[in-house]
Amino acid sequence: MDDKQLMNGLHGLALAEPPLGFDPDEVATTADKKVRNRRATIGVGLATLAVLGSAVTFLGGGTGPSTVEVAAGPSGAPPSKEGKAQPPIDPKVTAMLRHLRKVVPAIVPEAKDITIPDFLEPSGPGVVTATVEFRDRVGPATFNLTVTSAEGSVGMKSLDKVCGDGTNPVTVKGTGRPLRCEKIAQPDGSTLLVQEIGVQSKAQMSTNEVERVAGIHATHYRADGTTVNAGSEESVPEYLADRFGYKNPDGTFKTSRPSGPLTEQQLITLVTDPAFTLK
Amino acid sequence: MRTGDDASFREFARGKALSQRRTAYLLCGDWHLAEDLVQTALIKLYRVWPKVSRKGPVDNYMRQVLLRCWLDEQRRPWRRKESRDGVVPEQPGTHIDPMGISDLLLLALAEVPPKQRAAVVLRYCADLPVAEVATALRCSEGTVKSQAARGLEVLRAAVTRREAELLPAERSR
Repeated sequence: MDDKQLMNGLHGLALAEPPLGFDPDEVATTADKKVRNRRATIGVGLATLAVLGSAVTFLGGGTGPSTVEVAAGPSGAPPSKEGKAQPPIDPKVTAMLRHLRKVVPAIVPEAKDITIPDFLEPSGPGVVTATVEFRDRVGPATFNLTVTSAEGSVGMKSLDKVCGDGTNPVTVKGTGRPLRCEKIAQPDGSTLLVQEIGVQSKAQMSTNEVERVAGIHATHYRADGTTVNAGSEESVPEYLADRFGYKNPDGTFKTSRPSGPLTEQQLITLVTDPAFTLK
Repeated sequence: MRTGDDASFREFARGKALSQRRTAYLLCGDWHLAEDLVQTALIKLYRVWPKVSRKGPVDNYMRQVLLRCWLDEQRRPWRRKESRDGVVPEQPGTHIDPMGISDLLLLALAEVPPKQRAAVVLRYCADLPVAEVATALRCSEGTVKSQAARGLEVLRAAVTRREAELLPAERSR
């Protein structure tokens, strides 16, 4: 492999990205608390110094007033509880967000407490992702919907290379059956890719075996070069388990649920929806 | 922090969390550690946000902080050992196509020394100009070029070796 092939490979690295396991807003809140605690500690320290300084001045014969000005407590305005300024995004993305908020309750009728903050650009222009969070009968649930423009799809693994050539399939432990990776041709010339996601133990990382199937992804490769992807996995981010009180008997947060939140058909309905497009 | 600064920080954090996690993953090769690194970097960034955000785009500063967090993590062997021991948490299968170039490169990247890997990831995966990589790594442009070249050399050797290991396995099937 020469340098050019290496550079092209690095530029177009395809990663199976799991949903974001933390809430950026909560990180900001934690950071704000830390800054306030730090300021409070410094304030108390300065106040102590000032008191000591005054005492020294008094004992020394009162040569003048202390010039130390102390901020006794934390300063600065409280953080905005709103904190929900929308990123400057184009009208197409705004329309997609509006549509997503409308269709999720219809496609997933059992979903409660649905949150869909916004579409974000995960890796530059041409790729936007919305993280949908909700709870259902089973527990907390989250999935990502990623919409990629034709330009944004350039770095992605081409459809003919996805699934490999079948010579070295990833199999499920115990059954020996290969993980599903199916390309389904659509009447309009597009292709629907359905892939099972497996989980591996550390011991299996260097093998082609997965412990079990833990999710399913659907990607719609459209004739115009754009793609739409959504995935349904068992994993539950800790902040979501915290939000919905999804705990083990010992009080620790559960980080997975018995099944993914969306069925294959629900995923397909989402990704084939023509309203989700960056054309 | 003032309300406007806080809001702009939250906007930045929401907008960049995924791309920063991706960069962190390419550096460390572990999604959980990548998320820890991004959160630590965001907390550090919050402290200086009002000053930094007024100077212009913050992306490169964030990358610097993220890189420092990761290099600091590299200097703590006891913590790395701890995270590798015991029951390893389940991870989404990233080996859907184990023979694919992406999988091969990800495995090979882990063999590149940290600073060279940082140069390779920022230069070729994130597609940053040499000058921006130099700012992020806090070194000269010449050093970026040499680190990236050496990194590519190590990467190529690792890819070649891994391909050679895979070929006999394929032939035996």
